[in-house]
Amino acid sequence: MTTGKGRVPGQLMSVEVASEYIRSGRVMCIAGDERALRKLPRGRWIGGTICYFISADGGVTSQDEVFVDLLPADCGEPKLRFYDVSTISKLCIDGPDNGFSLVVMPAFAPIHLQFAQHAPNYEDMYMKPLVGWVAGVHMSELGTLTPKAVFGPTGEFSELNAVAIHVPLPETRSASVAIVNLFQPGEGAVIRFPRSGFNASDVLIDNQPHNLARYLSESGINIQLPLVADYCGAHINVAIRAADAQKGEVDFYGPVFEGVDYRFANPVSSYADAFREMAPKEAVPAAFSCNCILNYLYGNLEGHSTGTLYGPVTFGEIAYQLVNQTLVYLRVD
Amino acid sequence: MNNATLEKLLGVSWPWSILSAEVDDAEHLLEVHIGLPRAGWLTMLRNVSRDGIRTFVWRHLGVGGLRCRIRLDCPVDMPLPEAAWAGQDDSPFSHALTQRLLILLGNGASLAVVSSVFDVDPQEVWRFKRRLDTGRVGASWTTSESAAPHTNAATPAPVTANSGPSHSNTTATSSNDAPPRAAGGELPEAEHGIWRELLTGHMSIDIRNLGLQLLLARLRTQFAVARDEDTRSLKVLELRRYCEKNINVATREIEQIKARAQ
Repeated sequence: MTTGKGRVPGQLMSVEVASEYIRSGRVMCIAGDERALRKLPRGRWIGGTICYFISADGGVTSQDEVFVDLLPADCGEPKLRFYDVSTISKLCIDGPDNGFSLVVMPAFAPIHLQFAQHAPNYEDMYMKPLVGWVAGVHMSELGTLTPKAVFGPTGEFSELNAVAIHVPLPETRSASVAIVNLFQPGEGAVIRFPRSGFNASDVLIDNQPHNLARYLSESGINIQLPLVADYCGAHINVAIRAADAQKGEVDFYGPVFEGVDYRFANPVSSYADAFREMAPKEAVPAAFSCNCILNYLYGNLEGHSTGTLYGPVTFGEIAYQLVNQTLVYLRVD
Repeated sequence: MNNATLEKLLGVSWPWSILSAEVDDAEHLLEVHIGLPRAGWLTMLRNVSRDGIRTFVWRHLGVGGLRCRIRLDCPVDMPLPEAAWAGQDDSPFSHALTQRLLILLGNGASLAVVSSVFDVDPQEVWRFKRRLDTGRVGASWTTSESAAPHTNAATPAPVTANSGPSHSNTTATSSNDAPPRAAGGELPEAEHGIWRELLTGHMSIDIRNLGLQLLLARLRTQFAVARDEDTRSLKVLELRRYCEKNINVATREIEQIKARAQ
């Protein structure tokens, strides 16, 4: 990786090398295990905790190395900011007129839930490119460690607040957000929810009232497959966290929205093959990318190459709004 | 200023009258209490008791550098007045202020700017916009001669992105008018019908830009539940603003829109 203006894909690297980049003054987003991130010096970076990555060598778990995305060297002066639940709704209006914003927020925190449910209605949402990810922890440390967002300028770790970097670009350049979603809506029933939220019980299935948890049990649907909604051609997933037929309740990793038609996705035989096939074949590497922990786990991506989009494997991906089981990337042309 | 002058300024007319008007110097606020005249024959005829009164409070356009709050006591069996100084029963703003808010929002002003210009709470503006977007409140307002205000300050301009059905308080395109055409290579004007066709789903284009896909999906839902033309016009302006701002990244979609608009 160079420190010049040339754009290179993000890379997994040692704490020592990452520290050199920070000291060189480059603007960056860093993902890593909390213990590794705490060794980094202060500087112009934001980050979050996670120890799963997609690298040039494929999926990898590392609690020693950190993943560094160097943001474009020819950008204007970036603004690095903290957001709490009362200010996160201003995330989009704080973005530059030409450029992009990158946000990291801790999983399971109120700000994560607030963003998940309300981001589509934030002021200026969709008007300017917004990407980001949700920080997590090693699966074996769930419940003992909390996911955290990190604010590089002060070295502060937060399990409550989000951090963002707003990056202005010269007029000759532009940024855009894209996703790679392996999942296509299947031919099964159309599911509609009576209200938005992270859980559901009674829903409309092909316009007939039904309990969703019992429907899943009776139909033998693989709950590793997400619900997929069609937003004017964009397939957006909602992943299922748990389904309890006895209680009649289903929990989701992201919110379902009232008034939207969902279908369960078709199965995918090989996640790694599908990612390699669907990943963009562009000469210029993405400025940022992240993929979902569920794809990593369900698709057994550890040790398998998924193409040329590298980045952290996260507890939630942000492509404007929160998405699930999706690869998100940012292009800067 | 006496009540009669203030009535003229605000456009308060029969059967309504100003019962009291007070200036709160500390709050820079003019509090105007409107109702049926206490000694009027209509009040006596109707034998209105306090129990039969509904009270409404709306923020109205400022008067003489002061913020203005209208309090209306309205008998339960009387409809709300269709006057600039009045509002809908579930709105925090008068019709006149609502129209001004919509004009600024339609032109892409941020909530912070809108709330600053009218000195209203940003949260209140945000909640109001959410209620418009979800169809829980409308922005329409039909003026009648009797309710027409007598001052420029109380006469808002319409939100102008209409090509739909005629609306008394908006600039509508007559069915006999030729649709506005996209000027050579330019984005079609907000009045062009193509925006509404996209928002109703009657026209579809091949969209690959994620931001536009998500925005259009949201706007279509909001357009479908919008209660009135002004709210629908706001959605048109929002969609067009996206295209203006993202001309470099939504190029193929914008080219399709321009081509279809010719």
